[in-house]
Amino acid sequence: MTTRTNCFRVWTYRMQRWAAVLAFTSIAVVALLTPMQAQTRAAETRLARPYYDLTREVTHKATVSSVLTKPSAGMIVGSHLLLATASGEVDASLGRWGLQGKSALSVSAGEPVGVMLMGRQVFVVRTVKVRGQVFAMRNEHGIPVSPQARERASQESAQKGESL
Amino acid sequence: MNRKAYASILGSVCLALAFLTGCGSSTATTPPPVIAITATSGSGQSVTVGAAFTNVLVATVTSNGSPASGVTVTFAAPASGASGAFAGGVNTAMTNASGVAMSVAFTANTTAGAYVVSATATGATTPASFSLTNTAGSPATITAVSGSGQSTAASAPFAFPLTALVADGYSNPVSGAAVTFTCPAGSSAGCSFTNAQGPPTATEMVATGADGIASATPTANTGTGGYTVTAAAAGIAAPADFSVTNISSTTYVFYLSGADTRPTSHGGYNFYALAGTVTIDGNGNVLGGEQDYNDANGVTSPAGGDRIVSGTLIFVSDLPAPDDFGQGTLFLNTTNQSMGGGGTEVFAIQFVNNNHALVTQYDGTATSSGSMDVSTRSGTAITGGGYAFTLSGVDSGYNPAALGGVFTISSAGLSLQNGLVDTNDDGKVTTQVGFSAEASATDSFGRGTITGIGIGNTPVSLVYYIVGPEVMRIIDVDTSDSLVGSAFGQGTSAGTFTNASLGSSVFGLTGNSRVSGSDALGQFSTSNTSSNPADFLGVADANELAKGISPVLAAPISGTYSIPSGDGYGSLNITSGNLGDVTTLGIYLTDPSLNLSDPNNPSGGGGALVLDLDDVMAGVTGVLVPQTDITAADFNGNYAAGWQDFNNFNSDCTLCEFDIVAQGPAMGTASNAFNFAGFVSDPFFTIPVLGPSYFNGTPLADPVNRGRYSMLHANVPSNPLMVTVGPVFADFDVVIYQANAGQLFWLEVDEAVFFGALEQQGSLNGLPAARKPPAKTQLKKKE
Repeated sequence: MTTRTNCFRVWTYRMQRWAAVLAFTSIAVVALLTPMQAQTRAAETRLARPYYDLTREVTHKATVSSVLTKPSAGMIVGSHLLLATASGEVDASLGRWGLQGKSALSVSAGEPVGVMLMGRQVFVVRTVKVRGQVFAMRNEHGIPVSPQARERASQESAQKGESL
Repeated sequence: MNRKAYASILGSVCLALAFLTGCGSSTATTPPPVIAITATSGSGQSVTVGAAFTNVLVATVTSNGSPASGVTVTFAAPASGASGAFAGGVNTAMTNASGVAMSVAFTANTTAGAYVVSATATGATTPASFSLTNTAGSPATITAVSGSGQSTAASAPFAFPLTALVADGYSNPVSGAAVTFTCPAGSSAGCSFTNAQGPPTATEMVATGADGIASATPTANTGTGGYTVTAAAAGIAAPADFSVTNISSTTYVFYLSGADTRPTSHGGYNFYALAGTVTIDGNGNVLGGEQDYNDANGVTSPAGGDRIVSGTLIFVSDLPAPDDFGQGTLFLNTTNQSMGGGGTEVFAIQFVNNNHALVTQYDGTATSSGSMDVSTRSGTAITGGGYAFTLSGVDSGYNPAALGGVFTISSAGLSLQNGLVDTNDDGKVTTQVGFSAEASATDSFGRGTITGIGIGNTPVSLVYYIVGPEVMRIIDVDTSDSLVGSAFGQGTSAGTFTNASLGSSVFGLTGNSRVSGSDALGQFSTSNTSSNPADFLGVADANELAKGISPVLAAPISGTYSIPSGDGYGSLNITSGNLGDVTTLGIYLTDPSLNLSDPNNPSGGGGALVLDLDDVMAGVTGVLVPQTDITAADFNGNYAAGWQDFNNFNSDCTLCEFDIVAQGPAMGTASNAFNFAGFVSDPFFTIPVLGPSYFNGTPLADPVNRGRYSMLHANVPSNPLMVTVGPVFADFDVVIYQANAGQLFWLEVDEAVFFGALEQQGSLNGLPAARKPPAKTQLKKKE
């Protein structure tokens, strides 16, 4: 079984002119190296199944040190919060749509948040509470909440006179 | 005496003088006589062209009201057109003592029509008029005026009537002539005439109008080719011939699901489903159809669906079949301006054979994967028997959902009974819930409705399109939820399924476009099939990209399965931890003779529809296909491929979808075995630049797990699938599983995920005529 997990390593433009072939090759080699280095990190941050286990869920209060709308190399797809904790900075995955769409989570570096999450090296976040408001990133099964689903849930809550 | 008396006397004197003076005058004059001429007889006659009128023309001349004798009367006929001639050219006559003048015999000329002959006399200010008519002679000729040379699709009426002109020997139109139009007898290509009083007939009799024209509109039969329709009239030896052609047409049913780009507040990435039917003639012209589109987020076809009114199927190659490779684009013009670009949808299409194609929407508004299959339906009801079904999409909360199960169609064809349904709605799993439902009869397009099925407790409105006696495509047409899938018949196996019905199999699972990457692919063999549960053992790969779980490669899998009753409803449990999150599957067995990918294909049949019942795998469905040929040498030939790809290439659109259809030679034993070319549909601009797309590689047969192939960086030598899209290239780690020589599945197992089918191409000789492509405008459009 292969251990390679990042085979889509290069998307680059093939040079249109023969004169650029050499330069292209050099760039490609460099580009190849970068994700291969990141590959180790990616492997380390992979999750073991089951993907989301409510019994292993924990609640943390932390301070946001960075908001990543796009994942860095090796990270789980989607947006992330880097949280400052007593044990250091941890990567909290918000999922594919965590920061997207109407009424999405809006949070800045330096803000305190409460998160319900699960994981070890990398954490997958189910909810984020910031400024007293709770935002759902995933449901109880770990399925990401889409902007459409978030909006519909919001409308349903509004109709019931509830607030998040 | 007063003044009045004097005036009276004076007036009387003057009056008397005046009288006397007048009587004595010698210069008084006589007024001229009043001459008049009238038509006495002969007017109003009609006679056949070229014949003498029965009666001569008679005029009477009077002078001051008395007969005027010796007066010359001149008769004058029109100089041209319908007219006639007097015998010997004598056109004058003298009145007799009675004032009567009679013409000599008057003979009609050869031109039919009404006209006036005048009669004049010296002194008469107004001529007499004789209204005469030359009537057409007997039918002598019949000629085809219009309608010849046209063509129509088999079974369709011709667009224009066949028009024949009946004329006499002088080319005058003959009114009221009975013309008999006749379709050829005993010809494979032919026609008939509709008959309100009964079944269609081979002949139709029509009387000519005043213009000599008779017309009739035949309807083509199912045969194709050219033939002659005749129009004959009594007394005419040679009929008129109309050369017409029946061209082939084919009705297809298509269904797709993917992601659309509708400009919403949600980033324009919605799940959507599309199903419909379209008829295309042998020249690639779309004759009509119907469809339902539903993204459950603002774009849903109205009740009754959208009409497809026209369009074109254009092939990339203009080579004649069989050299054509069945790749092209299909343009559908709909009545719904929300569809595609201004109502026109474009699909990239890759035919596998004459009856089956892989398709993706290709117009920049949406991308999807699906198939298009020849419809062989007849009648308006669903064929009775057992069915298995799965549907996948989003629920009313826009969360991923899928359901699957079995039901029985009553012999009446409209009642779904004995239903059992499993549901995975956003991780909420329910199983073995009973249901019954009702279907409507189909409309003329083969479209009907089903009510009584729901996502959990939420009922959904379903529309079905009949592909054939045992196959329906089903789509949810509610505005808040969207599902799409199929129902397949169970044939004579309905009611008799057991654990032994499942043997060595290839299975594939794929998450819908809302899930974007929870796929698995594997194979297994079964054992202890007389026990319940029975056992299986195999190997599988999985890619749960969306969750950040490492791809699982060539993982040994084992577990149990159970098909407890004869209705084909069962379950399969993979030992936890073998295959990522995939553990519990609902399986719904189908007719062993029915090919689930290519339902008109008589080989490669059997298997089951599959629903993932793991809570984290909502929206995941698939198929399970008998594995009957794992010989690598048999994986050899031209293959069509289609796949649905989710990736992170565009970090602004994480896990966004693009879809591909392609074709080329492939084999499981030689180097450079894949050499595919195809279309990439990428409305989310995942790939920086689009252009001609090529896919090359060399599958490595797995020596341990026969039937499995891999194209991986990690292989020695490294053999990933190389992809070139325009000026961009990439490589993919891919695994392939062979169900049989004609049917394989492949799964990308790296940091993108795709799942799709590889299907060996068959005959393409029956495809609509190939046409030249529109100068690559489709490709340039996205550049």
